[in-house]
Amino acid sequence: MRPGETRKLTVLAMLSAAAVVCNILESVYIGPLFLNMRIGIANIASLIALVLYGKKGLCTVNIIRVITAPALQGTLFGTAFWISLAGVSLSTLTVLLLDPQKHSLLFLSICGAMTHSLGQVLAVALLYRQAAMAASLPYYILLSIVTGLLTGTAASLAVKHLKPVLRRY
Amino acid sequence: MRTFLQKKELIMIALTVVVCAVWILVLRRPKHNVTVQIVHGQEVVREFHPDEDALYHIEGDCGGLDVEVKGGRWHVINEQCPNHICAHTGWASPEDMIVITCMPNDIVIQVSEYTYETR
Repeated sequence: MRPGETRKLTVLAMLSAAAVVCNILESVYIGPLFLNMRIGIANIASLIALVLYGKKGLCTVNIIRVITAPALQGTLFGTAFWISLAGVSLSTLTVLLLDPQKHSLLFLSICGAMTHSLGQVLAVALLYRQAAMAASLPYYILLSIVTGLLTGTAASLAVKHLKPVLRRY
Repeated sequence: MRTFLQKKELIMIALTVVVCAVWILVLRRPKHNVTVQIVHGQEVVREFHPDEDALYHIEGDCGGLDVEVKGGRWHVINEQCPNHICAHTGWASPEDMIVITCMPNDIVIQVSEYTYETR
């Protein structure tokens, strides 16, 4: 394995671990801010992976996070897992379809947050066969813009400080 | 990759905000004959009218919860679930149409029927 690949593997492993820890910490200690919506601090690690290693980096961190966090919490394959999976899948797909080279990190973060909420609402509507869930959607989308801005800003600040450090090793 | 929002992106986000705001305004129109459903799994376990104050205990997969109906609004109390997300959701009303979900108990509380007020 070349040194560059080792470094990439190490950084992605650390980002995945950070995403899993953030996911668990948020669900246990921070909780929902308004309605039952969380900030999604784990997305910061995913966005950093997107900037540093492109679409593959984003997919790697998101796949590891969406499986490992519920596995550690004992909720793997429960209702909450499928809802989380729907949100992460739709948001990842959205960022993959939007060209990261043409759009800003903040825009990708906001779009990802909005489609994450959309995916979760769709999953709840399908699992419970409740079309009335759509009534909550505008609230979630508006809140997603705020959370997307927060996570996008945090990710861009983190990347700004991480890039010089990574260049050294 | 650029960090800050471009003009086109700002316009798209502003449009989304406007669409959501209009959607919320339409949803918040005064309603009549409101019926609220409490669903456990996929079975409707109770229906109530929010204009009648009451307290309902609902059995769920994780011990259940109580739904308090007061002054035309309803919320979850005494929830026996690990995250308490259902209680954090707060009060729901016919105007905001918020759906309260409790995943560990597999319970959903939502408006099922209503008619809009006509002038």
